[in-house]
Amino acid sequence: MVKETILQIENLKKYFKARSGLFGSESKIMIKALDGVSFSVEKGNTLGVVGETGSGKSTLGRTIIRLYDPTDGKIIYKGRDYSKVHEGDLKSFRKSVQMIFQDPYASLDPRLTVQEIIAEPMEIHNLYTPTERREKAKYFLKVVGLNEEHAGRYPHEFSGGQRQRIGLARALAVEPEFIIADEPVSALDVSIQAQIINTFEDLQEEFNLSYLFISHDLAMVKHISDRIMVMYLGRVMEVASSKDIYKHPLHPYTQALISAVPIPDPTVEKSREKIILEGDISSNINIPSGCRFRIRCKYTMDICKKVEPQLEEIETGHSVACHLYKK
Amino acid sequence: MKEDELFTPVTSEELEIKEYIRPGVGYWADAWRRLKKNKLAVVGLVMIILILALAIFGPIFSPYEYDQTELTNVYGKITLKHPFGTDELGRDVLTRVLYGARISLAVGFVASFINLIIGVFYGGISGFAGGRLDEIMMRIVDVIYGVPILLIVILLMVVLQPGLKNVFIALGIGYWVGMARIVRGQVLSLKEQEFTLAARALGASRWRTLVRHLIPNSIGPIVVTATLLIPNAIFFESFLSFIGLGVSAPMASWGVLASDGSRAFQSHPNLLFFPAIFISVTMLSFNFLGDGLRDALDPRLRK
Amino acid sequence: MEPVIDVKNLRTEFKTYAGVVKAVRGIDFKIYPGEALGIVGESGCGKSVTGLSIMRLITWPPGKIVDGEIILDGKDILKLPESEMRKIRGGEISMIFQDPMTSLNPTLTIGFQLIEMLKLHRDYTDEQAKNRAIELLDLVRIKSPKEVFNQYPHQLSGGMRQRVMIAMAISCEPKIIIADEPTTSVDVTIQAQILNILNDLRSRLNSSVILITHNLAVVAGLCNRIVVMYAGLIVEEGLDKDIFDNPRHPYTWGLLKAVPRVDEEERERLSTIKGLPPDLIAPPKGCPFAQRCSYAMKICFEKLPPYFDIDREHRVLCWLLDKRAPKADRSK
Repeated sequence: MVKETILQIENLKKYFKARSGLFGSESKIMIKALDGVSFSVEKGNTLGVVGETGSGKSTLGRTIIRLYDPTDGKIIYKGRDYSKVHEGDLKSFRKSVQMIFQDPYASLDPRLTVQEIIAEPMEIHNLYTPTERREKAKYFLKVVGLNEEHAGRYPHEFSGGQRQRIGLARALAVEPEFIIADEPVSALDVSIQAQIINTFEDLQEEFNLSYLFISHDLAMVKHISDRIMVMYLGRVMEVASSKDIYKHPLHPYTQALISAVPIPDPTVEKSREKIILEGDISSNINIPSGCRFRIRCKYTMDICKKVEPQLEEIETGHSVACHLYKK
Repeated sequence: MKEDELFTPVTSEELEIKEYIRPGVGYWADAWRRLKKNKLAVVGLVMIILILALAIFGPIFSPYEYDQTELTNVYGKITLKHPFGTDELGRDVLTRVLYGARISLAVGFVASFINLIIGVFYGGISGFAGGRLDEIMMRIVDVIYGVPILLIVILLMVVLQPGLKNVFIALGIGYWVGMARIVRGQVLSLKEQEFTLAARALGASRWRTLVRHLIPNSIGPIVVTATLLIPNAIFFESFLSFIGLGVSAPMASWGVLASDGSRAFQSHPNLLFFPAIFISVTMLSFNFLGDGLRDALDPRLRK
Repeated sequence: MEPVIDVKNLRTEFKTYAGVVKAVRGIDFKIYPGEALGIVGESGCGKSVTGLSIMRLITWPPGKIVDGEIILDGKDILKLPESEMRKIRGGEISMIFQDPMTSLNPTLTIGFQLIEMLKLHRDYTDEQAKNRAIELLDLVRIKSPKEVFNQYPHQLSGGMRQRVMIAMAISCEPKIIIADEPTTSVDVTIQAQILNILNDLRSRLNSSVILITHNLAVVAGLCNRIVVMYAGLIVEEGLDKDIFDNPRHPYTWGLLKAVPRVDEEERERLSTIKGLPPDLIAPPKGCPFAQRCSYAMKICFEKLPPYFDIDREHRVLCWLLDKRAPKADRSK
């Protein structure tokens, strides 16, 4: 069964100008947060994006939803390129593509009641009458597993997990097709994370949603995603199905990343061989020439210094950007 | 029930798991609690309420009119009938001071309000827009800050002629800059908060984001600054009137009264003393309240 | 073997305007030389407060250690005067915190801060202190220790700052290192480095490590004994194999089933624990987990259970272990 592609990203770049120099004048230092990222997401699927600090995964989410304007590249959603569309014309895009943010304590306006928060997107897009909006807000509260009676309360009266649910309800209020979740459970306790993730999965089934799930928690990403994309310093290192990423990681970075994830099983965890990467993550300002991972890589070859490897499909559905693998 | 019998499982009906939410203390309730602890602020608040009450009801209950002359009792001494004495035309000073309260307070509140509106929108737009527009707008603010406003205001009043309406215009010229800076600062920091990004991601227009999200969340500093603007306005109106450029007779603001009183200061100090006391106490009260509000509304000190 | 530290009936409370929060409600545990003890629990369970209590870093107001004994070297450190305690802090017991950026002074060089630490506890000359500082930086696998010695915290990455903190914590070869969420705000590859360093140091210096975290997987790798805390109490304690292979408390079951494993074969739906932790201003008189427990019995709401011993090292705070209780089927 061939699923249709709902989102296609081509060579997306986002550079930020770093302020430096004597009097804060703008200099030519660029922070290359996204440096040419390409991938696609199929309708009804979840693509997980993993990476560490500086990988660009958060910037990716925000650039796709046009909170940042891309420096280059294409954002093709349902066949139309939204990368250069003027801010004022993005309304229909923003109705169909929604975002869930990381910090449940900062992503809800503390001055508004829960009711108003969930109704706001409906108001912005001129959907329904005010009475209908109130009813719909209560409906979505129920959908995310909260009590309808709490609609008149303020965000600070809720726990972190409950606030994330309110954020979910707000995103669902305009019946989007695509949701970008940027570290949606990282700030929550373990048992609450499980609740929210289950809700995510249920909603995906009920409303046929597509997700871009961004997180640094590899175990959680693997659990919820169909395919996983590994990013490092603004580029994609490897893309594969969740199973393959774990069973046959090809890129040395992916191997190290997976090895670094602790397993909640002392017999396994204490006995297995771990790949420990020496050194720290390079910065986005001084990106190494050639392959940006070569400084921490133990398989570095001569070519790695000179030529930046491109993402190539090595096995079906499994692509890698590494000179160790040639088609 | 014997203890052994307690080892039966609890049914799910009995174990009603309500997802409970903590009834939190609201922003204002918490602020009020903190404000109450600050004794000076409470004193200030009480004084303001007192003076407001006197201003509104005083002249109504007074047996005299503010312009009622009693030429037989010029420069009268302090008596029960005239607790503050009488002035050069035999007018009851107490009544005039209370009436003056109306004018001075009105000027204080209205001028403050005008400056608030200008400052909030100027600062809000500047902070939200960022970039070049923000730079230009802030340079303008810097220039205004650098110029001695008092001189400008005085010059303006000389040109415009004294009168209440013109006092408002003059006071609206330069005092909004403080508010603008404060609001801009707030907006700058709130701009990067996730709920602002969320509003944009939902499709909110920039105007909506500013007016519905950023400005309401800056209410704390806005209230504080507005409260502190009031004594400034009262002072400057008094000063202008004192030097003859503010409101004119027979409208008697505290400044006018002080001005009149200063002429007879040597022999009848009460004519200057009482208006001056009222000006000082009012200004101090608003300052105490404003300082107290600043601490009470600071979200970082929330417990 | 004698324990390095013996915590008895520790109770710590915090006064807030809404009431007194009983953060730690009577916990006992021992730590033996060279072992790594993991204190695991979610936010609000009291694990961080426990660590701070052992260091006597609870300041009044609003916090106070209201009961208990902490025996170190035969002395109850809760009764020592502050001047004595200051020698112990950083000397025999040291602590690593979650956020290295706020724990290091941004206006002083790394070297200065290390030397300050060293001279506080030892009679070093400047020269000796400097050499020792560089030695320590090397011990925590910092590549160019002489360079880093002269740098400021903001010039270092998060991972390096955390390692500097560890260097400071081990500078006087403490008997106990308390690590409070040391890897929570750090990338996973850096986390692996740091856990590796902690493990290495433990065997090299024969120090004991107390690892406080909410991450069960991290504990599985580093710790040989684990304590599970909930609502200010220890609900289960045992060896690592006891907790992971044979857990007996419903909360532990819930935690283990809520955590996805990166090596899971089939995608299984995560199990959740419904409800929220109890209010610690008015904690329930019975078992604090009863409200959320699928196996709750009437007695669980009436009385706090005693500890039941399952094994030499394994004990559980749960009425299900009483012989009068019905068999609990964990797979439910």
